[in-house]
Amino acid sequence: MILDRFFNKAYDHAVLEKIKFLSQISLFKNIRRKDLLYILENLYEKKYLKNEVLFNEGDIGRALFIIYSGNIGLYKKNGDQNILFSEVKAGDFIGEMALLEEMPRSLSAICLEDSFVFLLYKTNIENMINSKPKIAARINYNLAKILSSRLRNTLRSNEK
Amino acid sequence: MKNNIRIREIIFPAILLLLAVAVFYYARKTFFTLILSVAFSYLLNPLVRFFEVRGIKRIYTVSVIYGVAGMLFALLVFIVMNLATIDLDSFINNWPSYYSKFESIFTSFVNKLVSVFPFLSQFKLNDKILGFMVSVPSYVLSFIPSLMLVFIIPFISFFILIKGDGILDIVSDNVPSRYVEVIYHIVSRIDSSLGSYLRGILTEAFILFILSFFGLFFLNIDYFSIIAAIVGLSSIVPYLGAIIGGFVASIIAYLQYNEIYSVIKVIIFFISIRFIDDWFLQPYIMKRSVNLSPAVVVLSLMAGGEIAGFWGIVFAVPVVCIIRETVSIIIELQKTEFGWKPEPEPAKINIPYT
Repeated sequence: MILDRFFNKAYDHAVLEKIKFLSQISLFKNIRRKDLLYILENLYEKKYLKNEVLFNEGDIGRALFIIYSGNIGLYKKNGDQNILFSEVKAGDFIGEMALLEEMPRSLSAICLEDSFVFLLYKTNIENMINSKPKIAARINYNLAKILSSRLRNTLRSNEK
Repeated sequence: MKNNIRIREIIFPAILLLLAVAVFYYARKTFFTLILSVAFSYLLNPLVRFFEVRGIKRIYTVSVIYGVAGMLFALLVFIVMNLATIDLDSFINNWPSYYSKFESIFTSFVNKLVSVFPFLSQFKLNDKILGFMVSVPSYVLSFIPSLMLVFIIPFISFFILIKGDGILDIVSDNVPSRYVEVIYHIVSRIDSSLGSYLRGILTEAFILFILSFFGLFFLNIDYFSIIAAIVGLSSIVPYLGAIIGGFVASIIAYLQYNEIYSVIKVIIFFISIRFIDDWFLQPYIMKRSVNLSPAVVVLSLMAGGEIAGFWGIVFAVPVVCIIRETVSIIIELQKTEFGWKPEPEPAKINIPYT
């Protein structure tokens, strides 16, 4: 009874939700729970307020943003105006190209409401290649599949 | 009106900055303790983070780690200090006899040397070396007061560890949001270089200390715990630990047994330590860290000592790690942000997607 109470007080139940959330992200598909904990250890967490800018079009990308909660708008510059290109919600991720190369962002990302995001850096993936090669290989394999399907989708929409 | 606002905007932060500099200058010793505490908590943070992401709240993790580490430390202190006290007592008692033995060996050696090379007499080698030898016991004892830091630093670190990424959160909450990504990038780069280097080198130093401690104990060399501590501390400089340890232990072994056989045993022992370090410790412990060249380490220690004395030596290697990583980040930023030298595109990107 006392142990139960102590355990409940000492245990942070939010971690279980975070792990469950990460397991549903396609980038971390088929990664074991124990390894998800390692990934969580390497993520930065940040709360952005409504209208705050995550990055601007043309900024050099260095991190992948995983949206844990909230709603983020992706904007394309057209002259002086920013045109809403797409909206991303909890469970989606943006900026995956930054995990492979540090190139300018193709869109701007602005919070449409208060949002909580995880940031995964290229440096972390590079460190994982040495320290946990199996996890790094799995992430990179998933990333390659995601990039391939996004590229196919872009080509298809260009054809239309 | 506008001018008044501008003056206020400049004057108040300037006064605050001056006050901060003055406080730092007059209380610099306390600040060094604070910096050491931050460094200590930085070393422990990955362990706390390990349990934190597994659901255990920080306060409980830190408390349990401190409890367990406290008990282990007490046990270690009990064992080592008992041996070290005996060592120190006998060291102080035996020093005069060792000193006179050393004096006679050294004087006859210098006399022979001077008879062959008469010009050496002007350097007064005898006076210089023997003067240094007289002050050795008091020099060793002068380190004892700084042992107080062993209790103060963990005490302050406890509160820093409970707070977690407090400093980083304050910075990231007070810069424009679009720069958060680059700030975390710089932090992760420095952390990955500095953290792995420091953790690697401290683990290596600790293992070398344990190896020397038991090795010299079984070889039955006097003051084995002091020599092991010297080996551990000097292992922060690559290659230096085994060399200094071998040198000191050989002298002690010769003075203790008066025979060359024990000296050979000690030298063989330290050569094996060097091989264990090169073949097993370095590849496994340091494989994830950025290697600093031993020459850079020695030069940075010398520069650190010249700039800030003892603390300069303590912080030389971490500061060099930070400078090196910062320079490489600046070069990268120039390549990417300012387009000085764009990265070449991968080969054959003109082949269509199939």
